[in-house]
Amino acid sequence: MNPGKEEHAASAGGLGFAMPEEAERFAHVLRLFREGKLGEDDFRRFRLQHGIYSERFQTDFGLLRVKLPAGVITPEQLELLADLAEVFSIGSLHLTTRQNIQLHWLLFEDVPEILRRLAEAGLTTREACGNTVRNVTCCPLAGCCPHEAFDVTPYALATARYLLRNPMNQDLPRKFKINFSGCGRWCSLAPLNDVGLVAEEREDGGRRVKGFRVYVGGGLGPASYVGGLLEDFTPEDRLLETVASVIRVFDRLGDRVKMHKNRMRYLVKEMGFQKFKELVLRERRIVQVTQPANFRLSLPQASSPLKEVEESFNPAQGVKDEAYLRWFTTNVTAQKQKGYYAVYLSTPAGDMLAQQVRAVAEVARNHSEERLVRVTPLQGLVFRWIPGRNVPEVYWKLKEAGLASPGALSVASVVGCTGTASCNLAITNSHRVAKEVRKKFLELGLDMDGDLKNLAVKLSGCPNSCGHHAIGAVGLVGSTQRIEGILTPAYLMLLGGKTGLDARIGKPFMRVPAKKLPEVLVRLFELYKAEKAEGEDFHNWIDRVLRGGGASVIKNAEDLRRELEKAAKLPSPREDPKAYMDWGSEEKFVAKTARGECAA
Amino acid sequence: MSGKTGYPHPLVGAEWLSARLEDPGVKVVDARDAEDFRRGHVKGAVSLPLQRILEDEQPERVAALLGKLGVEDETLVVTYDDRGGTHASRLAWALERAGHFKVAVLEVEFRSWADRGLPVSLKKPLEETKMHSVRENIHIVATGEEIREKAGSPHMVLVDVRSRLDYLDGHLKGAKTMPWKMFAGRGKVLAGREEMERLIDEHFISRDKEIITYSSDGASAALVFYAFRLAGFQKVKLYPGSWKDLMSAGLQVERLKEAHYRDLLGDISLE
Repeated sequence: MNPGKEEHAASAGGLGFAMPEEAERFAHVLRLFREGKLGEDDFRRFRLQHGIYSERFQTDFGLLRVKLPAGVITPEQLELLADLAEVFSIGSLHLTTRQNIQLHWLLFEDVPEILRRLAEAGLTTREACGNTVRNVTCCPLAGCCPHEAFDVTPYALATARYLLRNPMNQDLPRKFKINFSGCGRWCSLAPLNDVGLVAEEREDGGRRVKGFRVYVGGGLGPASYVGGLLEDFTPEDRLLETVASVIRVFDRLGDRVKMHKNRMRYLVKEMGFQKFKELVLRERRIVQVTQPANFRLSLPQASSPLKEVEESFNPAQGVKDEAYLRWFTTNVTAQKQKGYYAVYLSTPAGDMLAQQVRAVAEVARNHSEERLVRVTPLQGLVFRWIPGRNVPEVYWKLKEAGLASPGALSVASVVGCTGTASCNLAITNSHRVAKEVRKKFLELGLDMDGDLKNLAVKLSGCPNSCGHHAIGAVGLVGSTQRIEGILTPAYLMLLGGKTGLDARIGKPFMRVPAKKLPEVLVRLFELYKAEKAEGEDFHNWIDRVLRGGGASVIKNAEDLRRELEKAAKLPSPREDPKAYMDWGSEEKFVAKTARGECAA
Repeated sequence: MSGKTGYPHPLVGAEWLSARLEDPGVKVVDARDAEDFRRGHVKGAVSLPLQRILEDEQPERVAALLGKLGVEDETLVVTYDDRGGTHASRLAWALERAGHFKVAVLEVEFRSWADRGLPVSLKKPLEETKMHSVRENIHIVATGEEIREKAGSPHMVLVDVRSRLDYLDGHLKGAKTMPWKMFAGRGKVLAGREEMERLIDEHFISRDKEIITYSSDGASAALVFYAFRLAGFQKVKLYPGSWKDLMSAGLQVERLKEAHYRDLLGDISLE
């Protein structure tokens, strides 16, 4: 692999990805920049490669993204992050859709010391941003999910380790994203990444062989694409060389000029999928012939915490507490290992206070038999390997910390990027509105509604799709709308988006003023419930309506739009001037953005 | 005991102190509440709750209080607390201001002293009144007026040691944000000298600058006052009042406009 590459594993039990000298290097480069010996562009490129963005419209404050391959984190690492949040940040942490954790509102000057402390715990920010391979994501339930072919975690970790600091991918035309999925069911994000790998086992001469369906060329952004199938089965021993071949082709042929079109999906689109596929497969032959030893997969030892556990214990049996039962129904799922449960935790748009993070660490340490936590792509967390008998206690511990909110596995698990609370590109405060929508859904008990289960509402503050709006059953993109002659914050609503191997990109449907978004979403689900055929899911109903095949009141798209527009109607500006301002703001709305840093 | 500033070394270690509890030249002063003191304190310590000093910090009064506790001009006073060293530092600073220069802060909190099994006592100590002279030291005090006058000066650095969130909500114009907890060591109220030197260097504050620290309560800024001194700064001053006092002094405050950082703070239904 990379000779001389020694990461600091410390107490992280094989999850160490840090190199302590990177903190010193950051301190050095920051000094050069402050002394005027390094230009702004060079400094920006450097800090992005080390996981540091600037905060919205700020020159001195930034955010730091801790890269968590496969979203895995230990209790000790969480406690460190909680401490750092209290000392250097605003006392909260932010969980991202790529399973990272961010600290906000740091001074660039704070960063060297933070990196030092992170490195001691094995944590890195390296290549969390910039034109690099971003965090390798993975099903948060990998290893425990009843539907998976096999546990993809070791493969995600090995791939992440292989690519981290690898000279091959330090200066790509643009960022590059990889996802591992245990199966192709609805929750898989594989086809929505530059490379998506879906676990599959095959029979080969009487032997079970592990491997992957490989998708390439997917991605979310101003123009989102679902990836195409590169190979329907790539055996595990060819995993790294396949991933590397895709990266090499992209590195060589990707567009380095047109900022808005340099993700790999545009290259694939431009040359045609077939040609791209041929190029990658040819590249792989070259790689195999010339440097086979470079791509040997070395999997970290996966240890199963499975031990004697009471298999028949039902954590809901005989419990009368309604709040507990609601939480249990919408946050807890049985693992494939009988007697064990996975407990999900939903957060308001990914935010947790430092003391809550400490409570999470405590729960993982005392109640999860793997003593780990995973960040989910829904900006939440999951504790796995909880014996059934411990589930009620986990609930009480979480409740004490204000973390036992129901709805983690429901429509109330609303995703929202940081929006104008942090990002240069945001048009609207998508972060705050995601919290408002979640609050509304929980107040109305929509999390308990079986018809809405597995429906995702996803919001981004701009078209760049960090909030995954393109694949939400209802996606919302921050935008503006002139109402009564007033520029008003609004969301473009997308319908029909879907994850899984049959992933689809949502289609623009209508604009909704920001302040009316919670009501309009509630109305949309009411209409679905009233109009759906028996057993018809939301996706099918939407498809039917958009085709003009709706029944009774909502026959077609126009009917739906008209009904929703009623709920979207704002009071006159004289009656309620605040209706024309953004959430969390007391000022007249202005759409202001600055240069994005993503692509620098 | 002498640091490179010419001031006494502002911190003493637990082991160092435990070997000198019987030394008549050393007086340990407990800055916690009287009630905490009654429940157990460093053996031989006397009680001087920070609150009592803050009631009236006139040097004459402080000197008289010291005398009553049996502290003479040449006694080395070691203060401690259970507040991360902030109260002990603030007390130590008040003593220095009244002209008692031989003062140091214990580098651990009381609970850590007790956890290590170092000598603890419940007994009320015998207090023998001594004479303590008054030599007011104005060089370590910053007033609101002074901050206003020096605002914008390239020779002075104003250090806001409140939390980052407080800083974002509003801070004195031109102040640097260095939350006081960033100076803490592992299990110690302050990090080692080298670490603090590095931290300050990395925030690009050079040794020739005059430092003025302020905080929400005046106490955490005193801890950072000692951090800068330990790091080799010669001209360090504390604004001993609270953030509220600063506000009533009418100093110019800077705020971030239309920055929605508060929306990153967790659950809105908890608001």
